[in-house]
Amino acid sequence: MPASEAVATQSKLGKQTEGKQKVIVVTLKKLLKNRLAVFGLFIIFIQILMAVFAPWITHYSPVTQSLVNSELPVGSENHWLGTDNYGRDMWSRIVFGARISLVVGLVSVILGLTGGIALGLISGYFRKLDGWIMRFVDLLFAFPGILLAMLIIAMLGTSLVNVMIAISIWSIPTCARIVRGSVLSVKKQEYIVAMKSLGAGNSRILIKHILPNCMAPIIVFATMRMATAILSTSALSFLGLGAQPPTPEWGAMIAAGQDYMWTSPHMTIVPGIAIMLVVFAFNVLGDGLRDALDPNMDLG
Amino acid sequence: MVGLIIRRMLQLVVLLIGISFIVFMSMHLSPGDPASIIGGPTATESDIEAIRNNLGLNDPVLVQYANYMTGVVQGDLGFSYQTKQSVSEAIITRFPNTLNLAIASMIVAVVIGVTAGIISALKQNSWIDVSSTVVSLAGISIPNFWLGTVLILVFSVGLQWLPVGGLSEPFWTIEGMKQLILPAITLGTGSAAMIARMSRSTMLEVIRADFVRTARAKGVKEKTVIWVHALRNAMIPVITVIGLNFGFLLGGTIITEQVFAINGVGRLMIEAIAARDFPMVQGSVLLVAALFVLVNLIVDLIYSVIDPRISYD
Repeated sequence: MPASEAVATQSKLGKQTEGKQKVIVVTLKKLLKNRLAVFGLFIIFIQILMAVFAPWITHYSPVTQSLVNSELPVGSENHWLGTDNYGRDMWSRIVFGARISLVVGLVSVILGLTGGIALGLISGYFRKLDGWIMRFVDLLFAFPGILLAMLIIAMLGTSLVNVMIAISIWSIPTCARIVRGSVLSVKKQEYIVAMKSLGAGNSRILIKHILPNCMAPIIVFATMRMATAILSTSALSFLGLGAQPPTPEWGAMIAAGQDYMWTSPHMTIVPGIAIMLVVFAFNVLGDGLRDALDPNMDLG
Repeated sequence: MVGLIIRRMLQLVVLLIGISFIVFMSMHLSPGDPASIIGGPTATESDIEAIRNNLGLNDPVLVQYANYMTGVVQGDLGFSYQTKQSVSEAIITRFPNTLNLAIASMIVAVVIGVTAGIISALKQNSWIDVSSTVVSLAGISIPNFWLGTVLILVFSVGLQWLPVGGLSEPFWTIEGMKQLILPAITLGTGSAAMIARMSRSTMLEVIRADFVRTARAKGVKEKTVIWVHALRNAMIPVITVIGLNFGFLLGGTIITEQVFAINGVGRLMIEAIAARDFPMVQGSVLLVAALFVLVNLIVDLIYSVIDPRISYD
């Protein structure tokens, strides 16, 4: 490649990166103007801090029992959020619970996205496979809400790991549909036709050129899905199908607190508020991201 | 229209076969041998083998599926490993409770959701609109099992206005209605929030449409413009959301039934999953999924009737 051409290509690449950075800056600016989204970001930031620094910001183990201190109310000395029926510190359990909910949410969303993106890309790009994949996706859509996750847990057995698998499989159909929709609109564009005529392979076109242009709806979906994943994990644990005692999982904590509702309502109320705040945060952030990226985005 | 209904019914049959196959296979692939579950810990090897032969568990999987489906078509969903009761009977006795709960929650969701959505849209950016938007976002984020528990704590334990749980009385009696109020609010809140958001955005779109401006320019009264011209058009997408939500409410009853100790299909399913009672899980999942696709089909058909612009041909 002659030197002048190399310089031209380099400056072109530079411009592309500059363009991408500009998009990110504009989106961030729009997002930061949305007060609810900023609130969401703040709550998520706190949750991440709690999850990362859990052992350093708590004085007690979340699972060690101390029956002398059982059912202490909120505001007690040494236990500002009180203790549960086994005398375990509620603050420690909430903080370690933040870690569980974040990890379960992230893992199940990442797994679900991987499956959904792969199916969506293939389905949207290869017309021959489209019909088959979309019929399979329709079939998964026939299970309302949490039912598909429950069927998978019925099959695999009850545990937190199986909850992650179940929630990720449950995320696949929606993600696949969103990605397929974006692929269908992107692949008709001239630069893709140009890539093909230049002899680029299908996988190169799909991963390097189509996928980056489908990222906006994927980012919004992933954020909102974090909310669903955290809510569903706690629901399944509440039903006894997810985390098992003594794991400090928020949903399981509410289930345990139910029996002590009359004497120690904080055992139920505190983890409920934690779930609600985090789920609310991911929902408003998702909403804010959608408005910042493209308000007319079709999320299936 | 008739052609459309027939075509959709045929698609429905294919979908139902697909669903039943997925449900059957997931139960079939589950670890654990049904014959040893039925035989219990004292069963000998030959007892278990006899049970296997008796249930046809030694047949190839597709034969087992075909036998199961032959039963399903005739209303026979097999029998429970745990209670030895007929699955169809167990479901039939519990299904009315689930349906009552789903319908009551739907009423709560539609009344609150549509009203809040329309008021928000008509008073856009007012404090009513802002608070309704925040409340709907919170409504989507509240874990309904927690909301149910808190409602019990306040209205049943604290104020003692409503019963703690159960659904023992028929819904048309005062006692029955009292029993339904808290579970219906618990289950309906999430859907109410979704319906409110949808109603708000479609209403906002419609009141800015040309035909509404024309109606106003003609001198039509504001009330007529809103209630006759705008609302009718704004409700079309909302009906889809309502229909879809009914299916989700059927799924959501699982959790609410557990919180309020209601003997419905959802609770049956959870108990069955915990006991690894596969025929019971299979039967109840199949029923809920089949109802869900049926409701979706009805919503689609209603949609094409109320909006002549939509055609599936």
